[in-house]
Amino acid sequence: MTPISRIVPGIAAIITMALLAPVSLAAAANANRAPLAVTTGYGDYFYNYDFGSTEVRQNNVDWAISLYFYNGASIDRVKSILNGAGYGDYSATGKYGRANDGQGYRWDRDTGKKGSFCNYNRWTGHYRVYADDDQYMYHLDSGTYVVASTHKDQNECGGGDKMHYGSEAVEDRIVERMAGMGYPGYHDYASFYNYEYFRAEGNHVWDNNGRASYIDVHY
Amino acid sequence: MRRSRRWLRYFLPCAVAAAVSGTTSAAAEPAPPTAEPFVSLCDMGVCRAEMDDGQREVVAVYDLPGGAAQGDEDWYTFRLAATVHYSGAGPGASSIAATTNGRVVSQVELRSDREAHVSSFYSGLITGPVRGESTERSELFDYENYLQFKGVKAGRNVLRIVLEPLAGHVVDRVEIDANVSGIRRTSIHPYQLGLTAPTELRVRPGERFSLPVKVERKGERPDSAATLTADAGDVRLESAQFRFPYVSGGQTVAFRGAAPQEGRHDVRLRLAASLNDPAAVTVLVVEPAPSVRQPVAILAGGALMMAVGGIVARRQSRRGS
Repeated sequence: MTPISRIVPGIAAIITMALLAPVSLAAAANANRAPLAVTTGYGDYFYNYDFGSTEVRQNNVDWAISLYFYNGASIDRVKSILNGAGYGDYSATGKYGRANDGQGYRWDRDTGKKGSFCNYNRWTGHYRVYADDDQYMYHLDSGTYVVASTHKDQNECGGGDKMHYGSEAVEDRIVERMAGMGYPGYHDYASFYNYEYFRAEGNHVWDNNGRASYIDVHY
Repeated sequence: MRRSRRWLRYFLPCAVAAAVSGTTSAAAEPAPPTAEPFVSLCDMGVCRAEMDDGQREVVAVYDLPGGAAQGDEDWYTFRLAATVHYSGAGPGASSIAATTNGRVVSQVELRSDREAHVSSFYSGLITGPVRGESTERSELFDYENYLQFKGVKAGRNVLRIVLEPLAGHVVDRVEIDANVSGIRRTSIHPYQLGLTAPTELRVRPGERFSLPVKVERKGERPDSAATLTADAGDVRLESAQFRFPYVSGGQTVAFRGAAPQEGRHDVRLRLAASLNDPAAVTVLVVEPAPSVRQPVAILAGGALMMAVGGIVARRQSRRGS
């Protein structure tokens, strides 16, 4: 099955680097933490990172957007499905996605869900899922869709060095778990122009191949 | 993409099935050819379409002509008209969706709180996002949207409507109006008219403001007259309506008014035309005027610091002398 063949996210990427001069797509693809509004076409856009606050700034990005749920996605439905995939615990910290479903850009806050709350000496997967502050966005290739960022949290409670890393690994794990539940996924299906080479910035460890995985959450 | 111009001859509802959880409704006779570019669920043979915990889906089948595809000259939409009866059982979430050939075209998201108040959301290319709140035990949803590209194909097509509980027990029963719900063919391009407005405008109480709104024409749909209306509630606007004899490549206008008291005020914008009616909402955030106490306090503090400094300097100079 060829997934949503008409979708070529990012090809028509609109460059919107806040506080910086607009950059070319090529330059953006090679930059790090470079927030861009990417499009799946039809006047819809979403930013390829989530943010620490409601400000589009390079030094305000949190994680790369690495998952795209479509054809039946909504914030509540994706969370409901992922509850069954082992991501049922709450997270306390809200981050912000930004998207435009053809009616202007809006911020969407989510704390996301984790495998387990407050870990010591082990890691847990954590995702946050965004639309345009509504349950979902819609267009003719994807139907209803939302996007998500992923990472691992370690030592959030009980001492030890806190660490946040592994966005690529959690992306893959979610694709595999959902495939096991009957929701087919397509690993690294499309570039969202958010490649991050492996490196640590404090306790935030970047490692993202710049390609998002797509998951068909059909009914 | 070529398709038959005589599509009506082929756009015939055919076999039928409503099946769920092991139950199957009686199949009706195929409906006769219709001259209308609309085939209702009842035309497809499913005149009684209900869903509840025991039966969570309704399935119907219809045929489209050879060469049928979404786009170009012909577009297909699905209208879902359904009354949803809520359980009143407290927190939870549910989803009601329609798919054609497995591709979602309608999706109503319902979320109930502890008091069993239900917030709803649906969106699409005709209505735009629609958010609702209900304290009633039942609610009518009437919602039309364009099918996905892959939701349309020549020959046999399958329409499926699903009730999916996500958490708790929000919905007791869904009654679908089988005469109103169905598949429509139209020549109207889905991306014809667009409306762009800022999501938020920050002003002070009493301050005059200007809310810019851009109206655009997209796609291939013929140009037409349009009326842009602003429903601002208790916010007074100089003019709440603009009429355009044509939209052409785009028009930008501004609603002007005076900000009311502090708070958040929704300005609901709607562009009414003969085709789609896009909508948008701008939140007018009226913030308090800056306090005059703060600068006074800063000045007083500064004066105090200078006085203290002067006294200290004087004493030091006496000691040194």
